[in-house]
Amino acid sequence: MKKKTILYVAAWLLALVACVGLLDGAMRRDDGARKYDAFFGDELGFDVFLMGTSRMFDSVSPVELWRDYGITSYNLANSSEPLDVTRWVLDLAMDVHMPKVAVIDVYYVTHSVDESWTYPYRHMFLDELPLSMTLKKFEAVRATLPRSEWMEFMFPFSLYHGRWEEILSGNVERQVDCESFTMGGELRFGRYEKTFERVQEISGEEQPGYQALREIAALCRERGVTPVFVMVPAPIDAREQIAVNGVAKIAQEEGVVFLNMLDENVIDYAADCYDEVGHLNPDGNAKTTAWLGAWLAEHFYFEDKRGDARYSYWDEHVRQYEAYRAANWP
Amino acid sequence: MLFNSLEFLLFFPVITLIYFVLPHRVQWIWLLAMSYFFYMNWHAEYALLMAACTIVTFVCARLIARVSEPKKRKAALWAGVVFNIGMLGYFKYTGFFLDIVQRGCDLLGLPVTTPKVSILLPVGISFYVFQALSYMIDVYKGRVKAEQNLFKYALFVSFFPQLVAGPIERSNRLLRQVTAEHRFDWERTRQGLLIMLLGFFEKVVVADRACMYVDAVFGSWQAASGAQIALATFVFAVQDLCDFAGYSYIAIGSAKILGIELMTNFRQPYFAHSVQNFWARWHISLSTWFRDYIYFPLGAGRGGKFKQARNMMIVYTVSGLWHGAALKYVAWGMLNGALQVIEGLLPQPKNKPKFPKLDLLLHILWTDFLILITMLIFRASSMRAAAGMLLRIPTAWNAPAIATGFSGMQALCTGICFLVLFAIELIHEKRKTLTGITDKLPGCVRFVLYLLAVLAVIVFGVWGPGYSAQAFIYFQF
Repeated sequence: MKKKTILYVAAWLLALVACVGLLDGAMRRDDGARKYDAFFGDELGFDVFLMGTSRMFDSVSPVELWRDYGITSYNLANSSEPLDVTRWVLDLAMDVHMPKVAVIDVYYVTHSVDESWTYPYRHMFLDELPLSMTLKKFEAVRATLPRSEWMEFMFPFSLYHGRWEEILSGNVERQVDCESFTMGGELRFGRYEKTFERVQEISGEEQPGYQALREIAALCRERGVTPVFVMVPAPIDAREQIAVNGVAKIAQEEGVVFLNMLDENVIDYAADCYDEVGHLNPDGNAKTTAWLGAWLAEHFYFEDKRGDARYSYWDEHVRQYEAYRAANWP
Repeated sequence: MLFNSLEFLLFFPVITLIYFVLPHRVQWIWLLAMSYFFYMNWHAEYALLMAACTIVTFVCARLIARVSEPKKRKAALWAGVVFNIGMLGYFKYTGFFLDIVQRGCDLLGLPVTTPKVSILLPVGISFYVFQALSYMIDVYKGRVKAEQNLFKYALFVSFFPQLVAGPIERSNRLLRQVTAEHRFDWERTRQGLLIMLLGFFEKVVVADRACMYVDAVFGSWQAASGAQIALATFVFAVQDLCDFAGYSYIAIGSAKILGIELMTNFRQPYFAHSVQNFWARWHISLSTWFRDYIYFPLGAGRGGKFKQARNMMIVYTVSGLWHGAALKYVAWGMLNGALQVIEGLLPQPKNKPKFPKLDLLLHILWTDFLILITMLIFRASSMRAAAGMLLRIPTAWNAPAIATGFSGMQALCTGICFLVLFAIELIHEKRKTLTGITDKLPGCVRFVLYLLAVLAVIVFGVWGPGYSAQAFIYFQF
């Protein structure tokens, strides 16, 4: 083969890879970027990671934690995330920033990782991981997803190339309601009247998420991070409450604090819920954030960085956040 | 391993690279090993069937070549034929024949219950069995010499590009090629890649997208409008061509890169001016197989029009059975045979038409109309469904259309693809090739053109896990 031909083929292959790369970027959903760009782009790190399911990202606002307590935090929680997945998200996130405290929402303790009907949400975090974390990402994918789904996580273009129809028709629906300034948190505006009846019974059965909680505790010990298990206020049913109550035993065995806010009078279920399943609206979110913020401030020493010029972007987030909240939640 | 899978896109370059690095004496051994590896990706144990077919036909051919006594030669031939057809019959037709027996017993009121069997059909068995049989028959007829090396012959039977969907090659073309020395040739590789690209376009962009609409309408034909059934039949005709021809192009292109020329399998069949002409253009390797190994031995057209018609009907009934183990395939084959018999009986026009191009166009359209009817039978779930659909086309033409899940954007994409396909077919029909046309373009234009073509296939092709916007819509948990 002539030298000219080799150069031609090499240039062509290079152009193909570049075009596929560009298309990959253009065709990906932007939900992941909206949710996690501020996390991966942050240079100063965070005091606290907030992890778990949608209950966590609807209940605790990193912006309010900053505004009221000077704590830097990021809400890494994702919809319908089983705790086995949370364990891996925490592991990967700690490779990017090392927090002092990891607050783990235990609501999905009854769910196992095999319930892969929720797997599209895992794209949001995994798709945003930098290339340098590919090997560890593969470990996470291998541990939490069936083999048939590995390819679409390791090579997301194999999935997103089919989005041309959605993009060309302009019919793109949002996956999450967070904005870049909410630092992973979400505000959902609405009111849904709920009632809540507390059940104190404790589960004697091993739940799918218990082992993941043990692994999370071990992982945090290994990395020098303090884990805190938390159940945010939610009008959950008796079966779920019994399973969540059982976390106390795991927490005790592992020497981890378990904050069961179901036992605390934090919110008004009749006024502070947003939807039928009891996600919290901005009022419920503010109350839960205040409660957790006060507890964190009381039990840990976080240097108050408010007023530090390097953290001024947090103040800008507060300004945008309050304007956004005021515009939608008068 | 499917051609339209990432596994194949990794497998093929790697085996090709190693193939050209290896010395000639082991090149064919490498190809044989990789062909079996390729096949064993489905069900490894079924490679034993292919090996059995290979060994039996090899031994029978050697016997045929060694003995001179006609009776013994014939016995060896029949032993090979019975073994192979028996194997094919067991795996492909057991359920079908038991079903026929059951239906017959039910009709006669006999209290017989045939067992329900579920036998997994080994991939490509219809192709490699026919290829092996053709070799054995050719040896018997003295057209080719019996191969002395079992493993070289095994490569002829198992050569991976054409193993699972053809073309069904002949030993006089392929056997020497697969074991000959092949050096890397850039120009040949470029042409092979372009043929593969055309194959991928037809398979993953056209066929796999068109099938979404076809499946939706054929699956709910009782509720679909007549217009939808007619459109779905047309779309299926294109899908079927692209599915099959696309796969053949990928096979031909990949073999070409390895230095091996496979036969053309499809030659613009929807430009055929008669049903007979259609079958000279559609799945050519199979049509010529039936011609050479069934139609000619039966006497072809010798002995008058009745015998010719009988032979034609036999060939196309067998062809129908080859395509699938169901009565609808038999009916489809018989209908194709009958149409050709009728064509043969029609008087030929004595004078040349005044407008030859218009005459040709009308013949093409009429042929396509007939072929569409046969295609509807081929695709329908049963003969009853086919009859119902044919009846529904005129009687429920304006009935409310059913939801097919095929969006306007999908329809637009499919329509554009059909136009591109039509242009390509037209170019080929004019005896021109795509490479011939693109070669006249400046290098930089070709550079961009190839890039755009590959990107179009990547983006608009149906491959990978399949994106569903629905799965990504936040459902509040």
